[in-house]
Amino acid sequence: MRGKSEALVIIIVFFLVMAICLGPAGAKAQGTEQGIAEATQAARAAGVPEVVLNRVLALSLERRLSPQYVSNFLTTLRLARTNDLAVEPFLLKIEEGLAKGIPPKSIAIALEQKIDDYRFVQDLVRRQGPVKASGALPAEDLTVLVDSLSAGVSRQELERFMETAPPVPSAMLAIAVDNLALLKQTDLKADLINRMLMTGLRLKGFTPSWRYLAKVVVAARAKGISGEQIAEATVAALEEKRDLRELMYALGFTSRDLRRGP
Amino acid sequence: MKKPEDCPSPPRRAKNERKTQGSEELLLLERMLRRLPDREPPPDLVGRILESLAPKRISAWRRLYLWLHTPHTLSISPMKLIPAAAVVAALVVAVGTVIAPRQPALRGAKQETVKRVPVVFTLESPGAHTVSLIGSFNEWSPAGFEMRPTAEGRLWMLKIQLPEGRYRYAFLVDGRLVVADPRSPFVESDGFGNRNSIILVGGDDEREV
Repeated sequence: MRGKSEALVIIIVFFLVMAICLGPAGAKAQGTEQGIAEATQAARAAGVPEVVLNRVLALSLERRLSPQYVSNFLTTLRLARTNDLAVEPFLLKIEEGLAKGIPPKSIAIALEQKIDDYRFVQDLVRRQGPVKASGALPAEDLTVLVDSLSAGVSRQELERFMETAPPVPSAMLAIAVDNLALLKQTDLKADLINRMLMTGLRLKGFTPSWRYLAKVVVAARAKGISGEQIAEATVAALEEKRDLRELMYALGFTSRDLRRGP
Repeated sequence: MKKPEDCPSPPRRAKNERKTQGSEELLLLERMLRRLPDREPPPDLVGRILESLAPKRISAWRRLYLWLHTPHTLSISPMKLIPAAAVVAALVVAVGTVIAPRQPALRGAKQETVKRVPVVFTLESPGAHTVSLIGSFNEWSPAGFEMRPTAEGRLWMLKIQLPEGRYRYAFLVDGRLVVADPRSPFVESDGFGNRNSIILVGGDDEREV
């Protein structure tokens, strides 16, 4: 009789220990395990890379996310893939939100906004892409255009810029739009910015080094060079097919400045 | 002419001489010892002798070695095994959910050959206890990107190597407050109500953002 009661106590203790260890997470996981499994399977079927899926699931464990939001994130990644978008920017946005302590609900809203921005730009490129961007936009160039919307370029401004821009390779279009977003944050006048960028596009002069144009402009303004002088020198450099380093020399930067420059 | 037995060979003669000399020394020593005065032994002599004869303490390693080399019998009842199994299961769960996910992910494996540029990030935050750098270059993970305060404790600094490119970043103060770099000329909305700073990394040496 005594042996039976001892056994009963041991069994109860065992289940208590297991309940404490696995308790809330285990109960929740059981409740929505199927939802996560289905979302994972759907994302995998849509072509979301295994490494991205693993990262999301690992983050959900690490941050003890509600399974509802895990499914939500996985659905966003699936949507990105079905819209032919790269999933990495969305994964980065999830990581960024979690690192900053943003509630998962707000992260989900930000992801929806990002998907919407991508759809807008995709539509814009589809309407003007064949002419302006010489075909379908590569993922990295598309991301640059989308990111410009977070950096101060409105949808209307981007639409107008794309309308007025001459046909160029997509990489040059991306450099121009990125510079548009960054130069708008300097004290350069809008007409000077437009003049520089349109010259670069018209002459197809935006080689990769020109992606740092905004940084040069900030450095030049810090040296006291006027916006007009900067625009003049930039247009001249583009017309003579020179690179950004030569523009910096023209603006009076020394080799020491160049070491710190672009 | 003498016979060989009447006249011993030189080595044999020397040996006999040494034997005689040794006996005389022993006799001399015996006489000296007999002339020594009688003295009582010290009172703790017996105790000290017994103490020196006591068995020496075996080291823990030696005892472990002996235990491992001695056969033992282990009897386990299934009922008594359950609590131990529960503890093991709890440890496995703890390791799986807490420790394993914290291991840093392998990053930038493809970037090993990419040229990297040294960049110094600084933030003035006098009252802060911790400041970390998070950004698109470290997948927004503060682990390993903790900034260090200067001697005065006002300025926080971190120098890292970045491949050339465009990055967004922010500072995480005391693990919760997101602060954009006040010295960066370029910012963007992060979609969560905060601002990220933007850095364009190029050239040989960024020195300072």
